[in-house]
Amino acid sequence: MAFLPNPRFLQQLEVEDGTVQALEEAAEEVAAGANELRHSFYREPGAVLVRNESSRVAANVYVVNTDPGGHMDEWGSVNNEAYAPLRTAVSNAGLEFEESPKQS
Amino acid sequence: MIVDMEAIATAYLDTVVTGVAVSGETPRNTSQSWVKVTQIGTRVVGNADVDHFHAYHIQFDCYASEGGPVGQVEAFDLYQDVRAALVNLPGTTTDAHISTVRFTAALRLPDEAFEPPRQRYVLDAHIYAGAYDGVSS
Repeated sequence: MAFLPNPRFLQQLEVEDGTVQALEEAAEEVAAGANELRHSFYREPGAVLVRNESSRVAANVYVVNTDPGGHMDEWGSVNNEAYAPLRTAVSNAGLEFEESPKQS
Repeated sequence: MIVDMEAIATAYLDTVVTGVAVSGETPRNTSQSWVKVTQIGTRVVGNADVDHFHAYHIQFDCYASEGGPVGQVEAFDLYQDVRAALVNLPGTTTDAHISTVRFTAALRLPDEAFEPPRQRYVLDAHIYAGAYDGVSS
């Protein structure tokens, strides 16, 4: 009897409730850390949010900064340092930071 | 032991990328292109009990001397030069063994604090290095 590996094993594992829940917990920790680190001009509390857009075929859990000045906070400008709340919060949560910017 | 990677990278680029200011802060004269070097963070690589080998997360802001399409080309050329120079950074300085430079992202992000927005490329890199005491190989 031959062993036939499930070609969709990783994808199925990724969308398991437990996996998505673990991702959400990590994302919540990152978001909380980023909200602490923010130096934004638009001081809205809790502007960094977790968005879970997972489906039955993909686990997509995002940490998003909804602050209109968030890009200046993250990458700096001529007037302010790059405080990098999102990038720093990822590292502070014990995760390795990888960037994968949206390709145009 | 940790090294001042921001200072090492700044001094290196200042030597290799000629004709532009390279600094950890914004130069007084912003009518010429410049590179701003900022350390975002550091983490221990490998055994966390041995504080020797680190990944230094450095942001390189490559600013053009102006906004608009001309500035965009200028910022890109500078970003290209900086990136090419950093590829050759690994080696031994007087302070550090630099093993690898890994680029994680590069985005064109005009600085909106200027009017008109100043063209800029932001290059993120992780520089892997250990402290070098001048004795060990």
